[in-house]
Amino acid sequence: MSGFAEVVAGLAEQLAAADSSLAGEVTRLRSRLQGPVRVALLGPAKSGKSTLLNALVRERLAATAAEEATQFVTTYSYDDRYRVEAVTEDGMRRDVGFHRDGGLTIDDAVDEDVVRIEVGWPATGLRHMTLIDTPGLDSIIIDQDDRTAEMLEGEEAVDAAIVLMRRLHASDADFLESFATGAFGSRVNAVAVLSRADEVAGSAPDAMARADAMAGRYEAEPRIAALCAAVVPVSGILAEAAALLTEAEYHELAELAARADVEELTVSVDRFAGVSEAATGLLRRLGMFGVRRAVEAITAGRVHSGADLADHCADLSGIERLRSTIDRHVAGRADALRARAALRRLQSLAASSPTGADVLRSLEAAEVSAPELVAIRLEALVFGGEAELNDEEVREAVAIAADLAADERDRDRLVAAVERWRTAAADPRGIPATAEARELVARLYEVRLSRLE
Amino acid sequence: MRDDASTENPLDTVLQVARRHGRDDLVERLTAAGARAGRRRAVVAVVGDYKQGKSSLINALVGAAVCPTDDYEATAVLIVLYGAERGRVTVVTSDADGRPGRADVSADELPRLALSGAEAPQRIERIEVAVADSALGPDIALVDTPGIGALTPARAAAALAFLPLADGVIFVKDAGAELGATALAFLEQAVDLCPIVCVALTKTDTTVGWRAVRDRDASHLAAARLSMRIFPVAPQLAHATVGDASVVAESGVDELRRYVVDELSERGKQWRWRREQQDVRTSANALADALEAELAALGGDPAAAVRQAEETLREARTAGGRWAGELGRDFQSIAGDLDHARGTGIRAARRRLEQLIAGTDPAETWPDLAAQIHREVAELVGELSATFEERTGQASLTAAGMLRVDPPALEATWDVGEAEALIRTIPDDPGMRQRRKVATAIDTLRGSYGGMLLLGMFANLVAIPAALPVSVGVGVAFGTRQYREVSGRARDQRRQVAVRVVHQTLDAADFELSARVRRLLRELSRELSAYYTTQSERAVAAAEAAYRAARQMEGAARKERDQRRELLEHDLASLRSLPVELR
Repeated sequence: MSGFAEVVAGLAEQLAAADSSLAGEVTRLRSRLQGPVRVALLGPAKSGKSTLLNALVRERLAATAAEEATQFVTTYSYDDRYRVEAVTEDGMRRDVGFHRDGGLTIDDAVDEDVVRIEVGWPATGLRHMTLIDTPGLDSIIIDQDDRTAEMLEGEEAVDAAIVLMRRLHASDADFLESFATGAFGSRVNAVAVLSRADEVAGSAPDAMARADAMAGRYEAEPRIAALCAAVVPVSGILAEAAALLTEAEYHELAELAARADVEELTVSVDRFAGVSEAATGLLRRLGMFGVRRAVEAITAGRVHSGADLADHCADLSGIERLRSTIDRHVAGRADALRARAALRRLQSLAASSPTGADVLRSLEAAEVSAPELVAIRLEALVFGGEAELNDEEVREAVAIAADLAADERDRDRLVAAVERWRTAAADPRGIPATAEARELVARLYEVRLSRLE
Repeated sequence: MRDDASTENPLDTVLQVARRHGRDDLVERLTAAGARAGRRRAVVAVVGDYKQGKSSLINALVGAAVCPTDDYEATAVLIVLYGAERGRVTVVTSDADGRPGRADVSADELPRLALSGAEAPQRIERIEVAVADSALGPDIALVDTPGIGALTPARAAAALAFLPLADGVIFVKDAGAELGATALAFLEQAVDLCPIVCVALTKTDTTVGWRAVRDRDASHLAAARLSMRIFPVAPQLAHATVGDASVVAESGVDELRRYVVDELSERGKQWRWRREQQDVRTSANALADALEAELAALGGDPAAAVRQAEETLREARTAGGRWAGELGRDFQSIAGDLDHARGTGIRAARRRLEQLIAGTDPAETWPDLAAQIHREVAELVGELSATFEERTGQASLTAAGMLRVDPPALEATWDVGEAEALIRTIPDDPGMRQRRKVATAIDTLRGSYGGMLLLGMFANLVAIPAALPVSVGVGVAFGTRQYREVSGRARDQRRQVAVRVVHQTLDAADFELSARVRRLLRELSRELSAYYTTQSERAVAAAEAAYRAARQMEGAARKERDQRRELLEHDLASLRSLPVELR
């Protein structure tokens, strides 16, 4: 735990002492502070959330299908045993029947009063990150799906989100905005994924490269840049295939690739699927783009085995880039994010408790002084375009927010920096947001300064 | 010349009589009307979300790569495509003062002008593309609409505003996902506004499991009691270079094209028939009246007949001098009244929204508030449109009365019974009411003023509520949750911010509305003036012909007068032998 998380944990204890009726809640919060970071997969129906989840876990855990598949908010967390539970509206839990068949198949019918399914699974991919699959939000209006909205804001609040979109348009950024400003309040914990990137431009051979160019242009749009840390093109289906592809499937594909009429067969899914049962299965596994590119790689002699093909798919899919983006922007900040989520919850508990007034004040004090939160707020002001800083100032603000642990010894420089930013903050011509941003930068310099003493 | 009028084309019959009696005005009218009706195309709007393959589908339907396609940019202006002998691209613009302009450009310019990244010095109302040898033939025009962006309610409303202008709608969605609730709601309204609606399910060549999606879509449509066909299409295959002709057949584009042509050419024929009927009926009546009057005059005092004709001619000339001033004054007063209604409406909306804010914490209720702002503006646009329609219609009628001619709103061009049935099927909730008003306003415009000219402008007016950038950045202004103070002072500040945003948004709406309404008025007044000028000239010409005929008869011998009477009786008989619906 970082310093800030420890402070929050301490305050949680104080609150439990002040109001014993909250002890159970506080214990849960404390365990949340130590648990893995919780990342939600969000996006419209059929944007490929479940497929991407499987790719990240490297197992077929979430059901995927041509029609809308995920009907419940489902959390997947690490456990040393296999476990599936349904949580009902009144907080009751009950076991749900399931079996493993190379993945997870839920057997029991799940009733309507269920608000959430919890899956525990001994998958390495889940050790450091709990993933939350959500039902598709119809269109971009978030409150259309109450369960997902509750999950975003309720006690099981998530720390970060991967927002999947089949396409992104400046005007569709409302969707991202509703997360960035409503549920989270910072860009650092949302990563946008241009999902199903292999379907760009009619699954053309260069679809992934073109998706990459699109993602770059989205990232450059100020409004989108303000809302998420990065826009990453990913082909979920290829990433999933990379994790799950079998040697037998490779051989089936190699056989098809050797046919003389293969070019005509890959004109459309109907033609290819018409060849055989195996071809249909390969299409489901790889998609049209994947089949075309895999056939091409096999024909060109670049792929000789199932393992080669899996590597080839992984390369094409862009999944590694997503992983490293998550590591950099989400996991690296997990501590601060979780502590902030806990703090938020503690604040609302303390505010509603008759004996919580003192703790509430301490919580508010902790909130304004925690450098981690200062940094998050600063980034929101800068990237949100709300604060009007010049380019030089933006560079300096971003740098200091990104590197809280920096060990700087030059005392005079730090004093001067605090002085400089304070003066700037006091400039009466600046709008309040600009003044606030400058004040926050000054405060982060002060934090460095305080470490010297 | 055959005498048996009943076997002849009624239009020709009337045309011949008109020629014989020197009624150049009617000859011109009938010839022009025939040609105009012949040119009238059925309009098919192609609507759908961004990046569903609308432009690719359109290109496949017309059989030429006309509409630009791009991975990133989406089509941002209306593109109207119609078949013609030679290809041609015309950009229809309006400058800041609303002065229209047309310019032909090279086809290479289309991507630059039509895609969302375009920066044009002038506002582009629409781009008209004449497609050489369009596979859809000369009778059908396709309209490539800008993507309606994830079908948010406001954008869907703007898209719906187009539909009454269209004879058919192709709703384009790809096979990657099934129909969502919003799309279904959109389709439900679309079938109320437009008789022919079908779904094109695109990207079936590359989407694994597209049949499952099609079946789910079909059951969604059935559950919503929407009977419309779903056409699986793969526009890419329509110009595939691999394989044989069977690949092109697999694209499904031919089948969709056949459906569109079959459904709409029949409709186009009916429309043309009604229109022609109307023109023939009006001309035949005008002719019969004139011939009867002359016949009656022949039996009486020739000098009295000349005096009568002289009087009529003087009246026609006087009316020609008066209507223009009257119409100008009417439009001035309409502009003033619309200004007033707009100001009052904006102020009332402001008050209502302020009251709404006063009772809540905007940080919690902002999404509702933003929606309410859109609703308020939409409501106001609806009201202004209705007033606009009613008052300009009245002004037009006044001018028509002075000239004793038909107003350009020809009842038969839009089947009134059909329009009323359509209105009745729309449930009576407030949101619908505003849309209905707008829809009827557009119906009237389509029927009256040649529709297409005003299409871009009116659609722009209706799009105002959708285009207001009301939600941008407001969430940020309220602060993020953990920084969001719950104290009363902080809430007051948030209320002030909300009130400020409301004011700014309404001011922007006010400005836009005022500019566009004025422009619309100016355009309409120009249209009406041109129409009535022609009408007035025709009336004077007709009166002059009658006067000349009367003078001729005044000095004529008995034999000549008898011959004249015979001719008149003959022509009257052939006019009376027209089918009953034309009399």
